[in-house]
Amino acid sequence: MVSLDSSKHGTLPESQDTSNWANVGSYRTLLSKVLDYVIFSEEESSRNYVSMMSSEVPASALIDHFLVQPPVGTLEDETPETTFKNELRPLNVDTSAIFDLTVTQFIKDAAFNSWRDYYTCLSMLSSSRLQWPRAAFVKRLAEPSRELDIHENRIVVQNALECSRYSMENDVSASLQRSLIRICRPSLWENLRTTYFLKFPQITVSPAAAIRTILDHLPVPYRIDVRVLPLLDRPTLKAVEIVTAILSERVSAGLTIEHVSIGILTDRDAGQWSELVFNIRVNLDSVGANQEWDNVLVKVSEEADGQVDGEVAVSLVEKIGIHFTWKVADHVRP
Amino acid sequence: MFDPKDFLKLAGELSKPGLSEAQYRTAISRSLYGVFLWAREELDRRGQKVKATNEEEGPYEHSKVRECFKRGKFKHFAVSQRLGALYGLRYQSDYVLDSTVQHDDLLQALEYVEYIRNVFQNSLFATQPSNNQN
Repeated sequence: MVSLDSSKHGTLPESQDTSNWANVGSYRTLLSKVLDYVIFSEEESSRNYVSMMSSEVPASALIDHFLVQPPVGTLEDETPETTFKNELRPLNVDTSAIFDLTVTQFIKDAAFNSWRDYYTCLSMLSSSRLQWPRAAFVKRLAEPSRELDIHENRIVVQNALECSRYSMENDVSASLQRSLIRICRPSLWENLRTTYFLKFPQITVSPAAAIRTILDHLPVPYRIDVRVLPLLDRPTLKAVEIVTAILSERVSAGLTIEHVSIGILTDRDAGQWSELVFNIRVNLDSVGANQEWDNVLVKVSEEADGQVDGEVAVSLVEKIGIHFTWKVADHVRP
Repeated sequence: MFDPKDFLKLAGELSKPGLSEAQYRTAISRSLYGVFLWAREELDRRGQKVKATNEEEGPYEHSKVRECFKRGKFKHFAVSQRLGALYGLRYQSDYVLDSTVQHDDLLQALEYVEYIRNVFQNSLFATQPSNNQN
């Protein structure tokens, strides 16, 4: 287990008051929230916990226990993990798992309008064994708080990035960074890119995370062939972003795209070029598909012509393939 | 002199349902070569240096023809993209053995060919090249 020792992050203030655990309400309320989270969460990891726990204790028994039993008290005078484990021991459940869920819930509920919440999370995370509470933490940290000034928000983001970097060593960097990028306001993300990525060159967004973040804007299913990742330099990623925006706009205008597959097309004959290709399956006949294809290409050309960044313009026209397929009429060609 | 458009005729003849995968793969490959060689010859007649002058340059002809449609006098984005799509199908047909090439794939290839053919005949190569282009 790696501790998120705040002393390693030189930006934290001196005081670290983690004693007041009652900030998020009573123990009972907190546990109720945990159960809600376990039972109703869409997250795969939570469902896994439910199935894992139900082998020993039915979920209904957990609900009865937490909701019927009177509150034991608040968490004020105890450390969170020992309190949890002591309380849950009679149930013979995976106390660490419950604790992880609680940490996650705490992170989701915490107002983050004071440094105390921030330290509390750090402290709780140091006792948590899993990655996904940290992912929740990073998400929350990436939300700029109105209560903090710009400088403080920058520090928060910096620490979120530190968490992200730390998690990179545990093979969850892509999902963490995607979360971080998605949740940041554009202005904050821009600030983050220009400030922290320069300041901390070890923190990078992987090509996989970057392209997924872009393609998540597509309102249709998509999949990516990992062989395209080496092609994802800055101009090509920007070109992908532009094409994605155009496709999304066409979908909004009524184009029925069944799915998009991002693949690679390579010069098999002479090895002179490789293209990242959007293979776009549309639900149109030949005439309609060709018209829509041309519409998209016209818009891409316009974007390329209007680009001030010459490298992006070249990528748009020469390094991106946009290939439509459709249900072809089944008749013999002349 | 052999007319590369005859490859396209052959591909059309092989577009009947119920033929073998090998025939469909062959037809897709001929579709690409029919269009590629047609373009190469027309571009060459119009002064574009796309034809190999020796064996070593041979493999580069595909990329030279594609580049002509991506930039310069014969730039045509729609043709360039359809040629790329056709190239992808031909790649799959000629080299990738662990996927199945179906009748629909050939029909799709022929749709690409039809679009390219129309542009060649009605636009890019509609007029005969002038003598000073040679």
